[in-house]
Amino acid sequence: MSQTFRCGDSQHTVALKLRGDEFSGEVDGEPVEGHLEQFGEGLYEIDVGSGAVQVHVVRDGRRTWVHCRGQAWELERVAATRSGEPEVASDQLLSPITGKLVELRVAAGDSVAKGDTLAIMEAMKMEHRLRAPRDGAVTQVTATAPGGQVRERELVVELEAE
Amino acid sequence: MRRVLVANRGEIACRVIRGCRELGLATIAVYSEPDANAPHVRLADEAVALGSAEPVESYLNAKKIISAARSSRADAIHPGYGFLSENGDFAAAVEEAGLIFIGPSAETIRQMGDKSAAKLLMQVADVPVIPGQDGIVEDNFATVAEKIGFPLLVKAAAGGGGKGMRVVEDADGLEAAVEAARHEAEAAFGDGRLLLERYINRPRHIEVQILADNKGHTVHLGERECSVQRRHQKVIEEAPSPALTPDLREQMGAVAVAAAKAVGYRNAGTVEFLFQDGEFWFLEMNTRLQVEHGVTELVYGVDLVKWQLRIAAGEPLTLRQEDIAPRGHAIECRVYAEDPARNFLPSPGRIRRLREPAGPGIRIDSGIVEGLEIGSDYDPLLAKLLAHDATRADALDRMAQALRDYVILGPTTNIAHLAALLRHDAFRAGELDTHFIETHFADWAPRALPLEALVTAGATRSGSGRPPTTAAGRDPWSPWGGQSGWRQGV
Repeated sequence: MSQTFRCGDSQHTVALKLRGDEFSGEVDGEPVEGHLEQFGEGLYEIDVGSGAVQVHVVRDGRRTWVHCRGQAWELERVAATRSGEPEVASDQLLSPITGKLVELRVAAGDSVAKGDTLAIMEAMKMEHRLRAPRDGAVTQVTATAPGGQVRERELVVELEAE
Repeated sequence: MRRVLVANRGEIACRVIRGCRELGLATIAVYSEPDANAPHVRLADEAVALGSAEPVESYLNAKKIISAARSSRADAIHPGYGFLSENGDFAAAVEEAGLIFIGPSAETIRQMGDKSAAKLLMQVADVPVIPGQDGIVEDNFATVAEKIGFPLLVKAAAGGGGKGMRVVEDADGLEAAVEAARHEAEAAFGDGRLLLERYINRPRHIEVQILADNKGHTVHLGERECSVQRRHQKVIEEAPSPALTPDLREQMGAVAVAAAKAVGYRNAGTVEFLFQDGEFWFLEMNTRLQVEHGVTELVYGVDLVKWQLRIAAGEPLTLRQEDIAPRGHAIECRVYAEDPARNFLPSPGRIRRLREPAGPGIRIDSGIVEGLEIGSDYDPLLAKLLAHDATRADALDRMAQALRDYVILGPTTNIAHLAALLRHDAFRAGELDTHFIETHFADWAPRALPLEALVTAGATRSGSGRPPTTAAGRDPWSPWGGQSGWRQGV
């Protein structure tokens, strides 16, 4: 029984047994044991052998946020795979942000040259341009009309496979 | 002056509302739809809805704001920073409506808002300016650019805050830069006019705070060093600047006061300079309260917001230049909802947990509370963390500790990046310029997830509720099997 978390580009598998305030198990295949105590709502003190530290944890569905040693991370619980995160094909251009689609300059069937601005997005007053990574033909564009919202990692433009 | 409408949102609206309350003034907040439950709305005595999230329908809508002031019987409007704070037409409309605009006159705002006209005015007042084309460049960008030489800076005549600004390294990049700057300037200010000027390659950004009353009594409150920037927006500010000697401070202060007097300045304002190798040039004057005003307040022991209110109410400025002296060192970190590891992309989301640092010499100007949804409609500034101590080194240590204690879960923030900036040897040594982040932190990545964080995440169940101390099931020690209490992987 274990859980796998994705954090940015890396993936970690955690399997633990708890006995009172003591825990033991494996993290990424390495044995781990120590002391874990809850102090309040989502606040823990943990010692894995290198001194006690405080950890804040909030969970919502598949997402977990943790704060520890002055830094915060967002984790997503995923089904365990051997190779980590699925690779995004280089011909799919995803929105780097959640924000407004200001302008969509191409339609399916258009030919684009490397460096062309394909779409302009805006969030928090900053403009983000999606540029063609190479020459190619557009096979598909987002169904969102300019003025509408696009989510982070949502497909905006797809280029024909090379 | 009894009732003040605060025409802004976020931390600055909260800051201004608190200042008003301390002086016994009633406060009226305004808000857009997504801000209906925002802290500034709760903090004010009254609040008036403006409209949808779009700034033009809310915080940039002068008509709606003035009509909100009328309906709420406000007699003065504080514009905060950004939005309408440097809009001369707005200041004029406020006064035409019979209300007090808490800031300089509409004419001063217009004079300083037009960057090319301001530069000419400053030249006349013997304020040193950056070499460049005098006035708006309408066409023949290439010819003007050749004359000034590369690298050069394309910037919006109506600009500020880095919007509508592009550095051009050579002639090939000119056309694209002009197009991008114009597009951004039109979007941000509704004014796409552009200026070209020499690009100073390794400048510090140092600015001088001034205060002036209605009678023209003008003082400066020293400088702020604001060189640590990303995408032309400030990230860390401090006072005093590690680059200035008392002599230079006095010189720059005197120039700033002369600049303010040249336009008959009234209220709080900031004269921004580029500084390199002991030389300094006028950059622009911000005719409003600055985001980073807090470091000046800590070091000089003044309350700039209260002075703004008092001056607007017609009171004389009782500070005398000879009595104004800095005490210790203050530093401010701007906490943004953005991801420094991904080119500072904005990171909206709900504030899932908020634990603020505290202690001697710590100040937080915050616009957030736990549970607040950070949208993508406005600037990603969440809060400003300030630390004050006897020396620069002490203030940096105090700040480092406060950053470690600052817990914001939900949106990705730049807190760990700020801590890394502070730890850098060049920062500790005060060796700063406006390229500090791109020079030293181009490949910055957050530390890998520590084991403690992973184990705790793996040991807590959904909802973050109960301690993992009770287990049930066949094995009394196994957390896996139970119907109640803690379960794995839910």
